Amino acid sequence: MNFIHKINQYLIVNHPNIWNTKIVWMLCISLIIHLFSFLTGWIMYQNPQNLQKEFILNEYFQNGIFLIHTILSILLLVIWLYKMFQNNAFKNYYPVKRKHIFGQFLQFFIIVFVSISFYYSFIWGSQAYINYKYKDNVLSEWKNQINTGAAFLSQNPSNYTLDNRKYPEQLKNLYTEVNKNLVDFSQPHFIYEDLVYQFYTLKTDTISRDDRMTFNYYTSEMHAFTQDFYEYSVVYDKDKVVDLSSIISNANPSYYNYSTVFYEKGNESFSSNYNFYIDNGTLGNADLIQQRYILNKQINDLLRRNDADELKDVLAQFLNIANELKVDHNLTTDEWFQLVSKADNFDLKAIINRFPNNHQEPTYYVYETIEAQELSSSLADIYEKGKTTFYFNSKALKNTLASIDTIRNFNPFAEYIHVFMWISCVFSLLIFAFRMTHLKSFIFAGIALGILSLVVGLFSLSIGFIYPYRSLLICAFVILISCIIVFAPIFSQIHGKKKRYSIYIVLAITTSPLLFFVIIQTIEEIEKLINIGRDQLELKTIIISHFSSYTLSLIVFFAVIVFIYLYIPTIMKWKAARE
Amino acid sequence: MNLHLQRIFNVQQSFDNKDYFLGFRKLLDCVIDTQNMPLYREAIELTDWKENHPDNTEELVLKVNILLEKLKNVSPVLSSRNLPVLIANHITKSYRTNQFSLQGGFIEIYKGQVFGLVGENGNGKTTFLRILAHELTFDGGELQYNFQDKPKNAFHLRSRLVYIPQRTAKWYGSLLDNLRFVLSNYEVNPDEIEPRVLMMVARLGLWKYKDLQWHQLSSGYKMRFELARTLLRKPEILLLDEPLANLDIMSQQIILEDLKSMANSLSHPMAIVLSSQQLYEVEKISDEVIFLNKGKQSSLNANQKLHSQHLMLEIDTKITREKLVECLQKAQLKSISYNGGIYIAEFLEGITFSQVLSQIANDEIPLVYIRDITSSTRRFFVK
Repeated sequence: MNFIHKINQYLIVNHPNIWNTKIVWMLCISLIIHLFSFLTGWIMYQNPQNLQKEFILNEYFQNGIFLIHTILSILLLVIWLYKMFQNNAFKNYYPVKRKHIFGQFLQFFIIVFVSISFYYSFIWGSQAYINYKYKDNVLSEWKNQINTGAAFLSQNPSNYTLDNRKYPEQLKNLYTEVNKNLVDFSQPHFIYEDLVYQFYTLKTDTISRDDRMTFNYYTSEMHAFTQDFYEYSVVYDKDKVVDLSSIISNANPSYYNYSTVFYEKGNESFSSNYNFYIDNGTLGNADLIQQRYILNKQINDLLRRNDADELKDVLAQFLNIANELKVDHNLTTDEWFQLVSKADNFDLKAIINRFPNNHQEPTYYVYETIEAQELSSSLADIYEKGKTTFYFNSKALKNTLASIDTIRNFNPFAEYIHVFMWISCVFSLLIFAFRMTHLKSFIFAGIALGILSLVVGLFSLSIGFIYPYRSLLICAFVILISCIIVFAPIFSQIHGKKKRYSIYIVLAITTSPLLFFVIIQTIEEIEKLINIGRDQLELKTIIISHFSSYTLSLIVFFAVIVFIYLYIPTIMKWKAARE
Repeated sequence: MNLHLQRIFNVQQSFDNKDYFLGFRKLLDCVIDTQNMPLYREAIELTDWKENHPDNTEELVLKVNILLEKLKNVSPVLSSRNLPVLIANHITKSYRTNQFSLQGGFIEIYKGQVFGLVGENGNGKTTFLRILAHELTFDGGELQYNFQDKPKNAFHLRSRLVYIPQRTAKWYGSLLDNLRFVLSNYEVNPDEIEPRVLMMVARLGLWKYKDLQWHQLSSGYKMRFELARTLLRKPEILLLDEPLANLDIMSQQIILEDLKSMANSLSHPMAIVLSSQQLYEVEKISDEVIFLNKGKQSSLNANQKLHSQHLMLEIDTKITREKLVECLQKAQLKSISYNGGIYIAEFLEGITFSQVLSQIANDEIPLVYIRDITSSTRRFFVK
């Protein structure tokens, strides 16, 4: 305890401001809590089963750690405020300077920020562990092995139909028509029970953004799909039927047809239904098509070699990864191999369940089961006849991989930083305003703010009929009120009206972010007005459109900081005024 | 002999007269005058030794003499007192709500002077002090401050005007930390903060209480700590509202003497304006007493001899009014009034206090208390 006393004594005689704000101790205590949060994050995912949940970043808010952190933050801030409010050089008219007052405000901001941002250390702890445990090269190899092995995880018959086939190269860029009503039966086609497939080459046409609105894709029977870009759209229409009878012997659902990429970074949040969209909708996506082609080729080559040991190896590697990630299943390499090679020609004959038979499926898996119910009768027949007692929780595996990627790629400075930044900023502005004035001013300022909001509300209602200037007028009205609040104490004689001006001061300080956001909104509204009736390519932008919302948030934040610095002399002038 | 040596001589005299308590306070004043940190430290050590050896006066005297010898070799830098630090010229202020109106006269106060502000409750003492402290607006008149460094802005001016209200705010945390905090905010050299704080604590007789908490202090000591905090700011003018309230009679006298003594510091003299109901105690140390009656100012210069005034006495006695009047009429009594506890007697012109005392002695009138209030603002309270 002696060293605490020594440090305190050093601070009080050398840096009274720092002593008063207790920033040194607040940073020390917060650092310890951050360290614990980091360790919690590190430990949290040592059991990979914790990674099997969807939207892993939201887990923090659901597993109680958020609650603990919130309680700790509140406790820290309450104790801090109690301790800090014990001394106030400004209220006692000690000869404080602008830099001291501004320094105090910055310290408030830092203290609040470190006291509420334990989320960061938790995520950093998780990230450090995941980076340590799952190295780049291992993950990359795992993903390849998983994507190959998953081809034999026959859970959804739709993935094994002919329209999935991308190999040989001839098939890569062909469109497969599966709608019986659109198939030209006079041309080459393939039939499997109630399913029909016809392969087409594609031709493209480009339409402008404006025409897009009036273009009706569905009037033409030859329309395949459309890809929309910002300025234009590419319309893909079926061109000519291609005869593939020389390379495709039948249309049976088969392992040969499998080309669905089980897991790919970036697509982790999409459901498997998305694959349908991928199948036909993004033939224009060369990367994806290439991926599917490579996978399909790999599977075809493997099956053609018909090497039992090699195939077993693929299955074993898949199961090893699943075991390491503690994915729930009851497969063994041999039993799985038996299922795959049930038919000599690798037609799909066996179905592996997602869960044990007696499993109660959680709601978020529902769409997977619907998928099974919506199968065509022939596929439903395969599904029913091929059902086994084997199961593999593929969703858990996919979620685990997605969680690993999400945590590894989480950039704390991208989005959440703004949330914490603004919470800290608003809170430090409130503390600052309270410390510069007093409780009574604060309460009256709250009431005044309520009345002003009402006035702005009534104003916006009363001008409701003036379109398109309504938003602009509301913004201008808010700016007008804010300017009166901000500038009145600067230019007025405060003597004798100190209480009234204390409300102005509190409002000016605490609502400064709002003012700057409204200014930005106003510029945006002006931009909109300028651009009314203009073509998209002729739009005139002033400033705002060049910036992302995060950049604007940062600009407003720094504007608030500068505003506080510039406003301090006014606060001092108010404080020195006579009552 | 310069002023500093004169003061050292006074300290010596007090110790010779065995007025150790008074002598020691004067000694600390001499040390403070020097603004010499090594001497501060020695004085602090001596205070600590004195507190731990309260009965060892012989050794105390020896140690004091050693310190006095060292003091003789240091010459304090004298501060200028030529300009009045505050000029208040017919300040007026009206409150519409209770129809009260303050009408001040002309006040000019120099560093080293103590002005007493007296008057019945609700007659505008606090209002007047707050106007002087730049806390309240006023309707008319002029207020001028002359500080050593011209204030750069209004806030700087406020930081120079030290006003202690009647009810001081609670202190939190360590008492000494609160004092250190003041000095560091005034950007005092960090090495000098500790000796200056301890010196002030020693000077105001707070040594034994320095490690206590605020709630453990009596009202009197709270006021003394508040005073210590204020004096550390080295104010050029100090405005005190009822500093004697809640203090016992001994504490009142000591605190007033301390204020007077510190106002007369050689290195940092200050002007003091204090309001109080303790009329006689305030008069005793004040250079001028300002009386406020329903907001209107009357002053009575303590140095003025009001020969034109009739002798006026305040008398407390157990005998009947008739007997007292019979006796005083022999000394040419002009009028007498009784407020239920004390008689106020006024005599015809030319009668002296000694003559009245002589008559009272002759008639063997038993007295509890008698005071000449001819030159005291007490006479303003007589209805």
